[in-house]
Amino acid sequence: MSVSQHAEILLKEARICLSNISSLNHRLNALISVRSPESVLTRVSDVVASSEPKTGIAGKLFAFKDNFCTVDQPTTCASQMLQGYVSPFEATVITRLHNHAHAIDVGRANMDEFAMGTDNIFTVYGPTLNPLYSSPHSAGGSSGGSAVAVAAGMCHFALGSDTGGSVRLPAAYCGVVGFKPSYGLVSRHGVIAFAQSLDTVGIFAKDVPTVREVLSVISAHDPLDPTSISTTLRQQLKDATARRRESGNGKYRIGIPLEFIVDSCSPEITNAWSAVLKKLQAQGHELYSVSLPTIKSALPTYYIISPSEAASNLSRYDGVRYGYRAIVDREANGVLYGVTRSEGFGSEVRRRILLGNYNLSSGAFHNHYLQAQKVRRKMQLDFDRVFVVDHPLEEPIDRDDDRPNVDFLVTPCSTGTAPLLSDVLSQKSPLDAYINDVLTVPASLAGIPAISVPWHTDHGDVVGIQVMGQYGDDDRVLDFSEIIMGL
Amino acid sequence: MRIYIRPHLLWARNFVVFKGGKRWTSTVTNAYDGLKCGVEIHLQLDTKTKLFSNSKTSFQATPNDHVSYFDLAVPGSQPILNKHAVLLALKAATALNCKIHRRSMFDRKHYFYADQPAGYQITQYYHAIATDGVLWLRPRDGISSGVNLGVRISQVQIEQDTGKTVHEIDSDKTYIDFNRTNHPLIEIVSAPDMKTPQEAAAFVHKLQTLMKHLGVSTCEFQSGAIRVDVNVSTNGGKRCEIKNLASLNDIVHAIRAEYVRQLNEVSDGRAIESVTLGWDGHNISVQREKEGSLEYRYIPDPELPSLLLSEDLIRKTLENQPKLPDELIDELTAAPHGLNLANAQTLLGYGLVDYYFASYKILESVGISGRLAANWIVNDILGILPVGGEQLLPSIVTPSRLTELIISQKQGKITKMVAINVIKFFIENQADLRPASEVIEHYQLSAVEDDNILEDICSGILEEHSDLVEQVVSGKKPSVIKFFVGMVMKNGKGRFNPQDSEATIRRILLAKHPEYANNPKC
Repeated sequence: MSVSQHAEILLKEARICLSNISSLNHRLNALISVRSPESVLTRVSDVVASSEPKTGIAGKLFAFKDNFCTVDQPTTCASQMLQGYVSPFEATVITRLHNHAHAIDVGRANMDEFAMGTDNIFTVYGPTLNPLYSSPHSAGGSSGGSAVAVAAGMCHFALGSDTGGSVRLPAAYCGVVGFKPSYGLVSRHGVIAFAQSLDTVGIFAKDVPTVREVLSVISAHDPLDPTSISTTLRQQLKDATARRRESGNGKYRIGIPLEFIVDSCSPEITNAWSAVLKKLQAQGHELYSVSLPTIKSALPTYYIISPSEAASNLSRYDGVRYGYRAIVDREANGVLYGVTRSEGFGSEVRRRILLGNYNLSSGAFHNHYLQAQKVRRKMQLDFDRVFVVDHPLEEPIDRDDDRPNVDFLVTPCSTGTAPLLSDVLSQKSPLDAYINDVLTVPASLAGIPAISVPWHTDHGDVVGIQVMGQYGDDDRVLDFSEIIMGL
Repeated sequence: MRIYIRPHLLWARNFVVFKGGKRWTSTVTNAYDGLKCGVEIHLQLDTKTKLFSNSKTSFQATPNDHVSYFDLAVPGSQPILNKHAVLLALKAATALNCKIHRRSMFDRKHYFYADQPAGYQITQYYHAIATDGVLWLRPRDGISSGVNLGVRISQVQIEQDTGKTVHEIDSDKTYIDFNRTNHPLIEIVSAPDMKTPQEAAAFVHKLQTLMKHLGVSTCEFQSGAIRVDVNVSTNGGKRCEIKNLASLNDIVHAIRAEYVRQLNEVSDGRAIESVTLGWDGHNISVQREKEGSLEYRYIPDPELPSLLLSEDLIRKTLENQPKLPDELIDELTAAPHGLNLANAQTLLGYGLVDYYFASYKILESVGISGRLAANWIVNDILGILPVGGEQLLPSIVTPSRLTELIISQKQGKITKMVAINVIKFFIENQADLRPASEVIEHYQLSAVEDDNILEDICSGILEEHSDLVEQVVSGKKPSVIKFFVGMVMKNGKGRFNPQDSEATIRRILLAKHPEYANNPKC
């Protein structure tokens, strides 16, 4: 393909994205700020005209969640608390996409406030709607806007953040690929924290090769992020991947974890799961039933750790240095913060701050937070025992010879397909929403790579199939995801 | 009680005045039956940059000039640990004979305050870098008991400093300066092993000397580089904490006042409650009731990795530990130096021990008593230096320059006054790198042994002050002779030595006034 042909295709694709934004965004509410079509097209032309070496995503359009800091627009986390807040610095990943890869952003994506939520309804900008349905259905959360932007063809790929499933769940609901890399692989510098020990930057795209392209750009050591893994370890992981690919024959050992068979799963989900497994077996992959007993405690563990960290992280929003400040708190005899925080945070954020502060209070800390950390550690060891390959950051462990070891775990990503928004809004207890996370939080707690791959059922539904692999085995998780996409 | 620590002097140069090596010794016997004191000390580490950001540390910079995103808790910013701060904390813990932990962790301590931008302070609560140390106090450190006292160190932890809040008087405005935010601190917590106020002050002073010596902290009270809280209990009762004592003097007086308060509470039939107290320089007052009911919601910092120290680093820190103050004082006061304790402590307090040793060596090599250098430094030079000038001595008035002057004076080539003036000249003209001899020659400062010139100057002075001559000769005011000597020094630019001057004056007086010979003071 000639250079000019390539340029023509990029411009044509950009025009389609822009046209989708203009025709669909007002209903779907995926993007909360949109760049002007002229400026986007100009940038596409500039990129294709430049003689600089290009990556596979040069000139491609992307959206990013409203918790990535940029310097030219407000970064708000879909919160009243950060209305009008413009960051003084840019997130490392955004800089890499712009400067290294010459990708072009079309705008900021809607989200649940401070990334807390599973249906993208807790947002000052109003809910994001799922493009797969004509009636209002949940887009999934918390990175719902990013998932919808990709699903509705507004951009080639999008960035989200995944703390307990916030990339994978909306990907599953919207029928796109949603990838959560290993913890520490992608810089979080400039990504506003929800719960740092779990937060990861995730990628949405319609296909796995695009995810790979984006990952290759944003996966790099960042000295500004204390949890970013070193260049040395990255090389080790790369070498390990090359070795495993070479020694493999394209057939994998697949684990079916018993603990992921949950009562709340709807029939279309379980049917899709078994359909995928059958087809994989038919292709010569080996299936094994495996068990990770601690998974049963994953949900409570997650809902102790993540709100605790969130309560701590969100202490900084006091209206003194930046962000929203209540009028009463500006007065001399005001209470300084109290009203600011009540008015600035929405109901779900306030609920999690209360929950987190309770967990951290001296009376509860030992029974809740410390216990949760112990369970989390045990869960990581459970995963290590199940995978064939060792955790690159841990001492090799003794595996039980009687129990099968596998390359990947394959599970559903959600307990159901996207619910009606009206059903979500009429839920009596916030716990009903928390239960959605049961299938996604284990990978977050273990820090391992996990992906939601769309699976189209014979009945016309789209279901998210989740693949999990050992820490650092991201590239092979993507290899295997492509196999599932091709079934 | 006599206390030889003057707050204004501390302010001027963080200098403790010693007399006879005894401080905090009381003329009245104070009994402190049942008193127990523990100390919590915060030291600002002497690093170039902050604990978790690369903004500069500062003292007296323009407010909010040295602030980075993380210092302000800007969303999306992250902490990057300053390794130098860790090394200083490790040095401090090693010198305090602590158990160093190869793995320690950072925790967040939550409370809302306008000068605490993140809503939490990063500290080491659950797993500190070091625990279980001891600092020995000796009788010469100013404790009243005749035996050494080991004060146990419970914990040394690394943490962040907070910002400063300034309330404007007569207005509703409050200003916040974030320059100090995230400055590295270590908190040193002692066990309640001190049984008198003097012991507590001696402990703090010893710690100051030690940490300053190691370059861990400047340990200055006036800049806030050291902050001291003291907890006090009597007869096994509840502990009360006195916050922010600003000098050694305050430590002694505040503990004494608190001891009296607690005794009075008990004798009035009230129970001692665990409270936080303030000291305003005169009175003790309750600031906050019931310490311990505060809820800090500690959590291990979720994005700071564990602080791992290698066995090798811990061993090397111990091996490379310089001689500590106790050892240096022992060395200085023993033969061959034989300095008195006050001079030894002064040299140490000013960080001039190495400077002295270097000068000592040069003098001894040319057959002059090396300890002379100590007298010169302590008695003649320190007094003429500007504030902080002692730091310039080793590099500006190098040991070779200093000893050159001492040797010249000993050989009678220059007078001591000239020598001191040359030192002043060096300090004021730091770019002038000439050796002392060239400066002396250039300004013609050599001692003049030409008797005729001396004779002329003396005669001139005596003629000018004939009224005073009468008083000397008559014996009414014999000491006026010293005034004449002084005038010779002045008129002769210090080039004549005082002994020669006085002899010449006496000779002239005798020649002109033979009756002067009858004067017994002649």
